[in-house]
Amino acid sequence: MTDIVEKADVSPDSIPDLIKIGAIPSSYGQMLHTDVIDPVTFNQNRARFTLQRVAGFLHSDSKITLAVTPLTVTRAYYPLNIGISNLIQSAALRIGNKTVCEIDDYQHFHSYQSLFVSNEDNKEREQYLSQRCISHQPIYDDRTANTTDKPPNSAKKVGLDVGRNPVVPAAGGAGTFQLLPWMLNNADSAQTIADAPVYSVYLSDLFPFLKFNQLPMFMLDEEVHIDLTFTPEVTSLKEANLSARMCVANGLNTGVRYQVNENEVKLIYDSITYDGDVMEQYRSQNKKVVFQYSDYRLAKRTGNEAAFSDLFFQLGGNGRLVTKVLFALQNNENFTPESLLNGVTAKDVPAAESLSVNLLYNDLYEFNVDRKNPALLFHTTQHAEGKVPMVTRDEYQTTGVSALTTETMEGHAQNSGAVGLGGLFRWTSIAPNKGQRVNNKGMDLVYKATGLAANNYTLRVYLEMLKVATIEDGRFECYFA
Amino acid sequence: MSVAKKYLSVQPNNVPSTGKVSFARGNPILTVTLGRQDGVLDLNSIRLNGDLNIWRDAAGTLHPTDAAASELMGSHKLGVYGAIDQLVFRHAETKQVIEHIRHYGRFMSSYLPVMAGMQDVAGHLGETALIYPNYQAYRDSVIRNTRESSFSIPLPSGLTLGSSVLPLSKVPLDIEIHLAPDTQFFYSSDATTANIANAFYELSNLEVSCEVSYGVETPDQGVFNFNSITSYFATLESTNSIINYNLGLSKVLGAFVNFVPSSFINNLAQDGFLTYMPTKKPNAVGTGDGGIANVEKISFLRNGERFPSAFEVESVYHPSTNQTYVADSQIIKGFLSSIIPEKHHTRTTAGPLTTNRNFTGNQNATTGYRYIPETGGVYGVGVLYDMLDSEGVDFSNAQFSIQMTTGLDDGHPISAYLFIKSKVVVAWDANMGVQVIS
Repeated sequence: MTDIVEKADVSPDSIPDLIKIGAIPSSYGQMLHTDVIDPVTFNQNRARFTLQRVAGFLHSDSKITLAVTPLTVTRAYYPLNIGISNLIQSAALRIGNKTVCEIDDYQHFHSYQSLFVSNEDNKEREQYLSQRCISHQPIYDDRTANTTDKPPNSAKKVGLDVGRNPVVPAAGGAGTFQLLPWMLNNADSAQTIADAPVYSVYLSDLFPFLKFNQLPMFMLDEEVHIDLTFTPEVTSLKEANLSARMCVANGLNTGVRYQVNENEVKLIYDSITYDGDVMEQYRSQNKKVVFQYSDYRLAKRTGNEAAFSDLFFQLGGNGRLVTKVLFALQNNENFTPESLLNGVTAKDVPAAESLSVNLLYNDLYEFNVDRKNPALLFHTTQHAEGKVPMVTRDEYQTTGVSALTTETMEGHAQNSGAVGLGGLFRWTSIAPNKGQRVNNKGMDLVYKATGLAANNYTLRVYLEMLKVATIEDGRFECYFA
Repeated sequence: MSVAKKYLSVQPNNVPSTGKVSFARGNPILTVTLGRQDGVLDLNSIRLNGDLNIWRDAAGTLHPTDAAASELMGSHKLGVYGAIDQLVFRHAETKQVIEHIRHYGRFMSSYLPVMAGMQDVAGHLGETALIYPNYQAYRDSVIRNTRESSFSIPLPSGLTLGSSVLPLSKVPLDIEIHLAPDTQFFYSSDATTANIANAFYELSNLEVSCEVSYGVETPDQGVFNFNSITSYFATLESTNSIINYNLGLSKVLGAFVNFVPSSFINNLAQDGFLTYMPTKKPNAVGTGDGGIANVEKISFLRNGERFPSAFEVESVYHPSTNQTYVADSQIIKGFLSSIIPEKHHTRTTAGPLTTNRNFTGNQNATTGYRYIPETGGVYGVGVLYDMLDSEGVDFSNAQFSIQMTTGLDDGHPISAYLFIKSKVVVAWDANMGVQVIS
């Protein structure tokens, strides 16, 4: 206790808000413990981690590690935009028998989250941690002598940059890009099987409220469960029995049923504790902890191209405080492992067509005119999130002349809207700004995508809603604000 | 929940019935009025949205291709910002000027590459501002686009970046955008203009979008501060290059200069947004000469005394002892710091590739300035007076000077655009309008 009193910014009378990230003075004595925990239940469909009552606060950057077992010689990798998170179809955080936070179709939600990771972070950090590797570079494709229309330093196109130069024929011509060797899963030998990459997922990505709050586990008498549901091994959205968990290089086996490697599924659990009596002091000062956080609800609609040409989609959110609405369209055609993204996409309309959107709630439209300028909708998303989506113009929208290179990554043309990146990052996010609780009619999304190619599509809409959590006498409660 | 807000989408007052606006067709000025209303304007949220079309014929029916008007180029580091020549914010009723930035394109041609990294120009700036990381990428994707290119850009200025809100019920706002001439917006890839003489750019579906809070009580009078940009223009023609001005500004935070040969300005044959080192005159066919006129020494003066540094900055280049091609780190550092203090500077495309001496003012030579990789030349000189962004230095009654020793020994005129960043205070009154105190 004496030690604490001597610190200028700490006193027995004023313990800062320890659950709020950023509120803690840097001079506060803090200790970090790491435990590696196995799942209490595991099968190829789901896994559960259970945290018994433990000391300290749950660190938001705790991670779950995941890997698959390579089964064939096929060069396989995770979708480049979300990496290992493609293995997770849904994630739920439960305390006692209460669901604190649950996200369905998590891989799609995570593709939205991943838009806002800077390209530098993707290249220098995430491709090692999670295999997310969307980063860009000008493609200096003047690979032959100064022929017509190819002046010095010509870089007509933009392409992916994972830190590996393309393979270019000695005589010049198109280059072919590949992922770094350690990113690949294949069963060429016992060595490559043993070396299959293990990646991790942040808890704060699975449960976004943990970016702002850290759970005081030492104040909870109930068990905390993390439930993961794995993506099915195969999907039939495009064709029967296509691998859903991995992508493969062009022309390779698309039907491998990749298995999650149970030996590598771990929770790396970091807990934070503080000096001396600070923890007890905090507990005694906060008999009842109350904090606000966000949870997400998915509204999903599937139909053919005509269903989305003039859609008025009821989203729910009745009686709730909705702080954000984010949505994207997925094309069944993209659900093939022979690609860079394996269906975890946000499909744009064709180049000469338009997408216009609006939001109706409490009998008022969010925008006085439907927004359809793609650059303005890009900004609308930026404004809602407070961060810039780090994607190129041609990844966000289908343009007349794509600046994405036609040169291949793992055999897939990077500019392709079917197997590459072209026009597959068209997420839109709107932050309702009227400051009103949604009435009992709920929210409606106006979504008009003209000229979609004939196929089946799914529109996924996530509503970010405010919830309130209380911790009192070791019991956790939560309810919608 | 937060304060109740709503979005406004306002079209310019003077758009013709076609809805299409271009300098070439006699619409050089756009005015958007955010009239008196019960709302508090979030100045950060102001954006100009629209579509950009590039036409190669006077009728506005044909786009450039690799076979027709193939020489047509534009500034890839500016994108659609190349179309803005001046930006003015006024009181909508009294027409009193709150901020007026001249040579806006020249300002942005230094500001954008200094402030944006490669991932920005390859990524999100392409979507919003049509900015690309290479001159060829911009030509193929925007100049030769077979349909319109949509854009949505903020209007960086002291008012929109510095102050936060403006009560429209007390100070209605006019935003005036002066468009740049086509001869400035475009340039030719080989200095010939015969095939591109009729080319012009055209804006359509224009609107200003912004966000206002309503139901907020506001006083009848108030003041707000922001860092404004004031521009000056000088011409350099000799080895002893001197720029002198009485700025009349009391809180100067920094100053920077970018250079371009005077013959490039409003010249369809050449890139008027070039920001490279001073260069000598190229030969008639543009294949020879045009070498760098190196900045060898530079000092900034206040009332004739060196200030803030009491010494000259000497370039790494020396005409007799060190004819190096490498970038000049000390001069570039001063230039970057004058735009943004070093501690805040995290992203940039200024680097050895874009600030070295390998290139010339020749259009057709393989060392020509247009072949500078990535975002093109990012050169300038500058001085930071106040790294804390506090009260700056008083130049209200003091002379501002820059003295440079350069290699300009052939009488080739070089235009120097001087931009001063200074703190200004705007006092506003519901009945009296606004008064700018600089």
